Amino acid sequence: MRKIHSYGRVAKGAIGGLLLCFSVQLFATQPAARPPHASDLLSPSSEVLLVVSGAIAQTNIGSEAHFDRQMLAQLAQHTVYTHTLVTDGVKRFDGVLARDLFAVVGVDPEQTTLVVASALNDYEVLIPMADFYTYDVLLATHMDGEQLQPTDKGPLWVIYPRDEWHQLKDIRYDYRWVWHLNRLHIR
Amino acid sequence: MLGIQKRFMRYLLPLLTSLLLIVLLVVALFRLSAVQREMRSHINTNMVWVIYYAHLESLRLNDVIQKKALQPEAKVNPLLRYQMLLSRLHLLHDGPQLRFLEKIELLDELNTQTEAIKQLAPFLLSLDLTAQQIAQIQTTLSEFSTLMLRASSQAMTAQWEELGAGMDMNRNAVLAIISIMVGILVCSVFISIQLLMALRQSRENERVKQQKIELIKQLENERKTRELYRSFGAMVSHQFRTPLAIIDASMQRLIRASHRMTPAEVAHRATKAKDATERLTHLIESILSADRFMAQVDLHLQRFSLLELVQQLLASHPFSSTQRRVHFTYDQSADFMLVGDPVLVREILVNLLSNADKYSPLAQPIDMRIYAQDAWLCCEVKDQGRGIAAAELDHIFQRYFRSEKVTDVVGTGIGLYVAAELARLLQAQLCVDSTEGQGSVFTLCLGRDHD
Repeated sequence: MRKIHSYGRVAKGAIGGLLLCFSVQLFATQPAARPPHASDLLSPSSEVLLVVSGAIAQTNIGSEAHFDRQMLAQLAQHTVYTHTLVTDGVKRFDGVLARDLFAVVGVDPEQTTLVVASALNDYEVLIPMADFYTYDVLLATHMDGEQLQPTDKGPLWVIYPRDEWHQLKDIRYDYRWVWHLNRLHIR
Repeated sequence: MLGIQKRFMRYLLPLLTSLLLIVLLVVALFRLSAVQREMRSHINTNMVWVIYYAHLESLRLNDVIQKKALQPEAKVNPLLRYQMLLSRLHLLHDGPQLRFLEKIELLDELNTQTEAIKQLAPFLLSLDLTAQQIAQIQTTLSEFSTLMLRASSQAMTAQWEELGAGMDMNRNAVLAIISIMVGILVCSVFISIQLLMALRQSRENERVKQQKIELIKQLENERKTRELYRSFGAMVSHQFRTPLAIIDASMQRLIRASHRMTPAEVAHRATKAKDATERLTHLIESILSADRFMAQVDLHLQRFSLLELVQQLLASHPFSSTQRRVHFTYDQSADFMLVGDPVLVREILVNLLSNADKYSPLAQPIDMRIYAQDAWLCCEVKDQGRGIAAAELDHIFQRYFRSEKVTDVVGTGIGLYVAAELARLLQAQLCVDSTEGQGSVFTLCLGRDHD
């Protein structure tokens, strides 16, 4: 057991450094960010963590809305305490409410029904739009005060307030807890 | 002993069965809720899926490294794949997953492999890999891949075992619940039968009770009949004895001393006997005629004035003596029209007046009054005669009943009985109020509208 814990600490330190190099490499090849596209949305100034596309009114790069860590940090921050299926005990998650993000990019919840959530590991799942307006679904950037890394479940992890709602303790909600989240496509 | 057994069958057994039924229901409820809880808590991390993804990420990293080795210019991202693999290793070392790997005894091996993969980090940071580095990466990944294959087959076996055990438990629980249900069914049937039997018993009891009531009624009727005969006997012995004694005395006197008697005296004795015989005949006649009258009486409803009826009745002066005075009063503002049978009403009133006439001295007038009260029209006949003893008031309307105090007055005890029977037929009320020595008041109240 002690061995495992030491692994966790070492890995986080090493990979935090790796991530920085990786992002420089990844976005160096991308075309320069275009000016905001008829929108109030700011442009990302550092590594993009999340891309929102589809039926949105506010964009900053092409027909998409790109968010870096700073842009996400500027949104109202929320905290959810909950158990998860893959960890032990109650965890504290910090991040932004998905519906707050949708408000920023101009999603009309009346006109949209589904969100296609994709992850760095190519995981893809359909989430009903109603989920985000019924529950306080969090796009978590931190777990127990520590920033989520791609080597764990970062950069973003979709968190449902599982402990708060009885109906969320259901296998049909468990697959919606997307980790490594990096793209939301609104339909 | 038999009583205890009967009580056990009637009360204790159904009570015990009901108790058993409740216990069975509660047990069934607990078993079902346990199954329900089990179904909810049974959902766990899908280890096969977790291991599959860890395996897949190692293969994808291997694939990317190979591509990079063959085509150094290829646009691939070995670092991202390495991060994803590390993420999977992280997941395997977390809570439930870690415990599972410990259980299937693969944790030590996984730790070794994880350490080896962690050692690859510096290689993946450099963009140019030597052939030796590539070989080391591939060897490490290949070993990890083998471990994951073993882990996935063991995970599948373990999960299927667990699933099988869960299904066994559920099957047993369902079987237990089915048995309990059968028990509940048996108890219910037993209780239903008990209920039906109790219902039948209660009906039987009701029937016996009815029979008893019927018997009491019959006894009462018999008692009444006996009383009737006794009254009849008393009346006959009183009423018939006097005339018979007169006849007997007159006849004996004539037999013994007729030769010494003047013709006028003989005639006097003979007349006395003849009068007594006439009185007897009259008594018999009145008894028979009352019976005939009651047998033939019929109700003919019509609208008439009570005031006119009483006035006509008084005008006919139905009394034994012309000296008899009647003091008649009535409320002039009242309406005395009603629906009824005037013939029967007249008969009742004749009886009441005749009684008042018989049992009050000539010097005291009879008071007669008619008045309206709510839906009723009442006729009151009041005398100041000898009155009726309180003990006899209850019997005054019985057939052949005659007061002990009136044996000196000729009567059959039929008049008031007929009046009461007719009042019943008319749905009227006939009441008496009397004080011995002061007189009696008879009141007949008739409904204005006959039903």
